[in-house]
Amino acid sequence: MNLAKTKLGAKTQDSNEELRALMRETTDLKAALDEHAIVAIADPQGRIVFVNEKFCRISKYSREELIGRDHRFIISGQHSRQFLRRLWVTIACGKVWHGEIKNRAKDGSFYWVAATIVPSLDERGKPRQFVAILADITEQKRIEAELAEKLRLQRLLAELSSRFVALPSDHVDAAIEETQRLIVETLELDRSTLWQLAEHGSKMVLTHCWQRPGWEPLPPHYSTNGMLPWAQAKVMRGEIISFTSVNELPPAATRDDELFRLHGPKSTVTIPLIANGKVFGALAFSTLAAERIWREDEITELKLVAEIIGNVVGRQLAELGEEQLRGELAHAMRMATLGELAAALAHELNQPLTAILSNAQAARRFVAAGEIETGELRAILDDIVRDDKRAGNVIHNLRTMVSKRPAVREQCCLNELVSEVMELMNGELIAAKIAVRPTLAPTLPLVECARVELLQVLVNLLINAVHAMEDTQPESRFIEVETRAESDAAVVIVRDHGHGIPPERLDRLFDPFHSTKVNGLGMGLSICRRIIENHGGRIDGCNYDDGGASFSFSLPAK
Amino acid sequence: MPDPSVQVYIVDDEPSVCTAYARLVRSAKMQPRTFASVEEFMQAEFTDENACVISDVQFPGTSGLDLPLLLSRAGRQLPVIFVTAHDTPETRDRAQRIGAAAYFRKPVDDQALLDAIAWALSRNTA
Repeated sequence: MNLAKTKLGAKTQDSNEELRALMRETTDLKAALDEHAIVAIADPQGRIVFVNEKFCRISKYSREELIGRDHRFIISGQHSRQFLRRLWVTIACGKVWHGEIKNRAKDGSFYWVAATIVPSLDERGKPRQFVAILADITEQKRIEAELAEKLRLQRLLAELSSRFVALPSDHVDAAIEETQRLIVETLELDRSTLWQLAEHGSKMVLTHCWQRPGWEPLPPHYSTNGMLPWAQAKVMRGEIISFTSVNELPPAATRDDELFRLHGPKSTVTIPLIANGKVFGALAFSTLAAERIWREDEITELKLVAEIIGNVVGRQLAELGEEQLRGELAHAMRMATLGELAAALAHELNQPLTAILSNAQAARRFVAAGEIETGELRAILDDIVRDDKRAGNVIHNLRTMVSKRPAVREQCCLNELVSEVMELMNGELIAAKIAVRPTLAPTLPLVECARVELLQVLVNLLINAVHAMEDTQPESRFIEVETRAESDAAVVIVRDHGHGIPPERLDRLFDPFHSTKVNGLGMGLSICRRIIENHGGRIDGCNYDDGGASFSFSLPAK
Repeated sequence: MPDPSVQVYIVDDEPSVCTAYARLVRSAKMQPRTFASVEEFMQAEFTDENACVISDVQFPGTSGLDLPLLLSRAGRQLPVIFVTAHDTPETRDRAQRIGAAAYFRKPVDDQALLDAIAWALSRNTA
């Protein structure tokens, strides 16, 4: 081997004895190196002049095929030109290079080596040859890649579950397809499809699909129509379909087999979607280009994805069916809000009635005494008319709130609504000895909304704030109500100085039946969220470090 | 009665209610003065002679029910008539205990209110 000769070259003038000893030592070293490492030697031009047995084995080329070839032909072509240039420059100027290289074997498969390339230099310091000592790290690389993929998938899952938590129903479809895309890209698949049972379970209809560009798109609302009897029956039993190759399909799947061979997929994991113990659809992940081995842990993660998406779709379906029920619920909720408001409303009605009565009776007395001035009488009558209208408005608002008819949407300024609610709640706030400090934006974009519904949200937020402040000290007994203009939205913030939101409730604040109040409405915040989201807005709640909670909602500008 | 020297102090945070009471008081030939809060009234200069107070109960600030105590602490002798929109047994009891001259639910009838004023004044001067 050239290496041995080189080493010897420097020592030729020594005695034969010494020479033999060195030869032995070198041969031993070479044998040990050959046993341990993959070795190749190239000349200064980069042509391969020596390879050991291990090199031939891993590259799947014979020694004859390799000797004399440029070393670059076994490099995979997946490294950048910059990477290769840096390697070459390093060793060409006589320095040792360490690094990892991805190579291509004769059969086209890839393998990774950790390489140390040592240039041997001649008397003038020019490289005479390059000795490459390589270790096979393909398995290590595979595990690294698998770990990285697992991590990506885990992260994706964590993000998914939070993404779907507070998603308005009209954003669900886009979010599902986005999820499908992320999974397909992360796992390097080709297509993900979501199917839902239709016509009493006789067929499955495609509702959501994402696939890599370049594949022929499936027609929308594509239906299985009995073409996949085996797969459909299996999914209906709640079983997962998973195959690496169509060849794995059982004899019972003849018709499915035919279709798969014709239109794909080449491999798939298809998971049933279950709600209330019943299968209502399936989520499929497939490859179309090549067969794929699905690891156990990947299937587990995909099951989680199916569970998350299944929940969302199940919820969506339930919402469609229960729209009417929810209408009733919203009505019941309004009635409950009214109960809370009874005291405030009594106050609101009593004030104008009191003024009207006293004004009228005063006028009667003036008239009876014959000493009424026209100016005074006109002032009294004007006041009576004004207070009567005010009382009428209170009753009108009451009627719209109790009404079961869907509220009409109109252009509103949230500042006006806030003022209206503060007026409506005046009595309640006084009774609770709580002041409201409004900070209203001088200009606020108009929003399109159902006034009565928005009033209901504001009333709820204020009532919640009042309830939260039952034990608050006198100096902090105030609620800040702020309106704020954003570029494309109007925002309302209600901040109290009460006991705050218990930490364990924070993430489920807007779920139905998660009331923090002993005598609370329970449905309050969930209805608020529904109303705000129906208006295309967002509602949030949070705690402040120095005590108290804040709720804010924003509505898109019109 | 009617006695043009009688002063009736009206304490209510609702301006339209104040105005209406004031007219009623004037129609009965007495002198009204209106105040929007207990604090505003207590800071004002007023006479105890031939005078009484008509007060609301609920205010954003000091409660109307604190008025008798504040007056007696200030060494004043002035009957207080309460008129409230929130008529509850508790409020009624409390008004009675603290020595209210009268207690009415809104809206209040003119004759009842004027009778109460007359009775309060006669008791105070007696």
